[in-house]
This record gives sequence, C-alpha cells and structure tokens, in this order.
Amino acid sequence: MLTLMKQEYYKTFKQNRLYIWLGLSVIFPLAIMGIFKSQRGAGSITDLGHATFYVYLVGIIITALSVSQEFSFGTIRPLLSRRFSRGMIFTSKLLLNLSIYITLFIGAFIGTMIGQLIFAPKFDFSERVSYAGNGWQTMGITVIDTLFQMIFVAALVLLITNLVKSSGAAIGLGVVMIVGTPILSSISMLLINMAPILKWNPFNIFIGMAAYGQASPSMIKSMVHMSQGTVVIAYLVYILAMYVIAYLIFKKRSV
Amino acid sequence: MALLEVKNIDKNFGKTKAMTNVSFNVEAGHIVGLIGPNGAGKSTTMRAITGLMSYSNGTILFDDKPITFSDHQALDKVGNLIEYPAIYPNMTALEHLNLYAMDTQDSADFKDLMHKTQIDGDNFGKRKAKNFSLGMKQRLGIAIALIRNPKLVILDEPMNGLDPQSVHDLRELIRDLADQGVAFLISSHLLDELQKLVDDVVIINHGKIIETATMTEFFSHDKVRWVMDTSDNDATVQLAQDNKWTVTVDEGHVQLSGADNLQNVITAMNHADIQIQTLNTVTGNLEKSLLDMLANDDKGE
Repeated sequence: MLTLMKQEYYKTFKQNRLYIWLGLSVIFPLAIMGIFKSQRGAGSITDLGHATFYVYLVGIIITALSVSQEFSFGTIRPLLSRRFSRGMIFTSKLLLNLSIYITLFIGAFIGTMIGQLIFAPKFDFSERVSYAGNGWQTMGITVIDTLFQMIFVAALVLLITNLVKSSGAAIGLGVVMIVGTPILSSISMLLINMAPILKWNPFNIFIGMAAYGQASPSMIKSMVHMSQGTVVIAYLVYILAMYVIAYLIFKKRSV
Repeated sequence: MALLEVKNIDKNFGKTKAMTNVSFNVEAGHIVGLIGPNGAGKSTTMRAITGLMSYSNGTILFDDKPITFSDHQALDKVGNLIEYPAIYPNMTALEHLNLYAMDTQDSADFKDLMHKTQIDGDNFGKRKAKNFSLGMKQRLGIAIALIRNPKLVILDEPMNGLDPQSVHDLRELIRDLADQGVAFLISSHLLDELQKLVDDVVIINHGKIIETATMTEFFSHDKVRWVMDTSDNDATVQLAQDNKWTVTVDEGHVQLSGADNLQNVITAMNHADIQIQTLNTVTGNLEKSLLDMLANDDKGE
C-alpha cells in the first residue's frame, strides 16, 4: 500500500497543474478579500474567503481525473497488471484525493489568514459570529462540512467516471451538485410534498448536510423533514454505498 | 516445468466466444510468437495472462502460481507492453522508469536499460513524453516492460513505429535477454521479423489454438520449393506433371516442389534436354505457412 501511495504521489507531483491549483487556493481568498471590500467580514473570512467553493470545484476535477486519466493515457493496464489488488489501487486513489483536498484547504486557510492580516486586521476570531460559535469554530465547521460534501460528491464523481471512463460527464455532474443546489433543493421539496418517502433521496440528504452548521437544527428539520442526526447517518450511508458501488465497477472492469 | 502454463482457458463476450480451450506453455529462456489474424484472440489471451481480463474456465500458472482476474500476485515478475505504451505525458523517460521501479527491490540497472532500449540519447533527456515520437514512446514502453527484471515479458506488437535499426536492436536485446533465461511471449503482424526471433510459435484463430510447435517443427511441414528460369517452361511443366511434382508458372518463373531432392529434378531435366538458366531454393516462410494454415482452418480441415 505504501508503494502504491508513493507512486500516486510521484505521478501527482510531476503534474504542473497541481502546483497551479495549490497556488490559486492561496491566491483565491486573498483576491476575493482584496478586490471586494464587502468580503472582509466574518461571513467571508470563516468561509476561507469563499475559497471553499474553489476547493470544492478543484477537488471534483482532481477526483474525476485521478481515474479517467489512467484510462485515457492507457496507464490503467500497467497499473492493474501488477501484484496489487484492485481494492488496494482504488484505496490509494481515494487516499491521494483526500490528502489533496486537505492540502487545498490548508492553502486556502493560509491565503485567508494573510488576507485577514492585510485587509481585516481588526477581525476578532474569538467573537461569536454564527450559530456554530466563534470565528474559529465557524471556520472549522465550514471546512469539515465542505470536506464531507466533497467526499459525497467525489463518491458520485468516481461512480460516474468508472462507469463512463470519461471525466467530462463526472465533472459536469459535480459542478451541477455545487452550483445547482438551490434548484435541486426546490425540486426535492416538491417531490417530498408529493411523496414523503422521497425525503430519503440523496439530494435532500445532501442539502440537509450542506446546511449543517449554517442553520439551526430545527430549521434543518423543517427543510429536509428529518433530524440533523438522521441527516448525518443517511449521508454516511449514501457515501459508503456510492464508494462500494464505484469500487465494484472498478473491480469488475476489464481493460 | 514451464514458466507460464495456460490451460484450457475460455472467455466469452456475451454470446461471442473470444477464447475456447486455449492452452499453451512458455518455457524459461524461450521466445514464443503468438500469431493469428486480427480478432483471433491474441490480445485477449495476453490480457487474461496479465490479470486485466477475467476468464471463465481453465487456469493460468506463472512460476506455478495462479493468475486470475482478482488474484495476480505472481505478476510481480512479468513485464508487459500491451497494445500501446502506457505513458504519462508530463513525465520524462527517466521519471517513468523511476515510477515503475518503485514496486520492486530488484529493478534493472537504469543506465544500462536506457542504453539498450535507446532512450538515453539527447532526444530523451529532459523532454516530456508528450513530445516523443511514436517510435520513442514505443522504446520507452519496452523499457518499462523490462524495468522490473521480469522472468516473463509479454509484448503485443513491440515493433510498432520502430525504424529498421531500432527493430534490429530490439531483436538483439530480446535474444540477449532470452539467452539469460528471460521468457518472451510476443505477438506481431510483422511475420518476417518474428520469424527471425522466435523459438516457438502458437497459432491462434477464432479464439482457438490451431498449432503449437517449435519453429523447426513448424517448418518441417512446409515443402522446399525451387524457383527456376528454364530454356523451355512448357516442357518443364510437362516433365513435372509426369513425375507427379507440384508445378506452377508465375511471371515466367517455374515454381516446383514435391520432388525428393534437387538432384532428381536436375537429372530429369538433363535427360529431357531442358537447360536451367537460374535457380533459387525457397524454404520455410512463416507468412505463407500461416496463411495456408489459417485457410485450412477456415475451411474446417
């Protein structure tokens, strides 16, 4: 497993785009806070200068490319025709992606801290700024919440990538999941009104999780028709199910 | 005991039978040519051996260890180049070798391998693989197949995109490695090249093995032919027919076979007062033998 991880990192570090993406994760919050005076308050700073959106988007692209590029370069064959099991190869890809997400968050955090020092030096992180708590707590909840959403969408993206062996469709779906949340929310609510059982649809669970930390538990319950705890459990079940299906497709695929 | 044993392998794609009861062995130090027309099942066989494709029946053993779709630890000592080189466009040749050598304690000497596969020249240096020509990529693909000091190397169309000098050098490299005990399973449509290289042949058609033999055995079926220009072709044809030899006239040249030896032919022609102006002896030709064999197989003979 260690060898596989070393190889995955070796390949990743040889890609110029990784450095560009990491650099942009630092620059993004700086640019937002520098250009827009209105984005120097608690809402922006605890959202890493809105770089959570950037990290989310790049994370999805990286996830899709991590598998689809192996197919398009033809490198999937030497990757799979070695002593390692497909389960180990799949896991190494997941761990690589997760570590890149975390690195992107660290980059965005560094950019946000620099931006706060330059553009909002009087901002006090110890003051209560949201339902979740003070500045640090709100930022922490926002990052963890975004990371969990990324893991959910990444599972879907991996599933699609493994099915169609192309990154385009998977990235498209991932982007829809990000920017189309309000539309999905409306459609989901209409469906639930028609048939209450549909509250278990993955989009409703996703919306419930996206609101975690940003809305009170009672507000979330009225939105998605289930408690916050149930949302988390359903979310984890969906994540697990999607990764298992993605793995089974990957495992069965002849190349 | 053979290094690679393929025993009674079946593979179906839906209702289409891609491999039926495929069996053959590859001995250590032997170069085996897997030959057949397009769609015969060569790549499918190679994929099954390298754990890239499942098979429904039979067994594949490498070094007495099983290779299946889900369990192929035995592949540690198998190198392969299947269909086209697996190359990351943003990495150099040396970086590729570094990458693929990471999962072994026993990798080939980089400098030596790069020299032997000709990927050590100025053209390679710091250039990314995306800027390589087809031939350069192919040479890198061959180096990748050899980097882990494999006991068995599976090469699918290894001469693709190579210039004549590179083909010659590759042949020498394969022969050298085979002399050191490395086994090769090679598929190629360049039968003249294959004929110069392989020790054994496995002929596959419509997913079935129709012949496994050493090259010597294979050509023992192939009759010696004599191609000659004579003072009287019509009289030569008549003479051949009288002696029940096989004869054809092609573009003014008489092609004759079926006689016990050349001396009998010359003696008979002298007696018939026919002058031989030019004479060539044509022996075993892999392409012709293969085409004859496939034609017979297609006829169900």
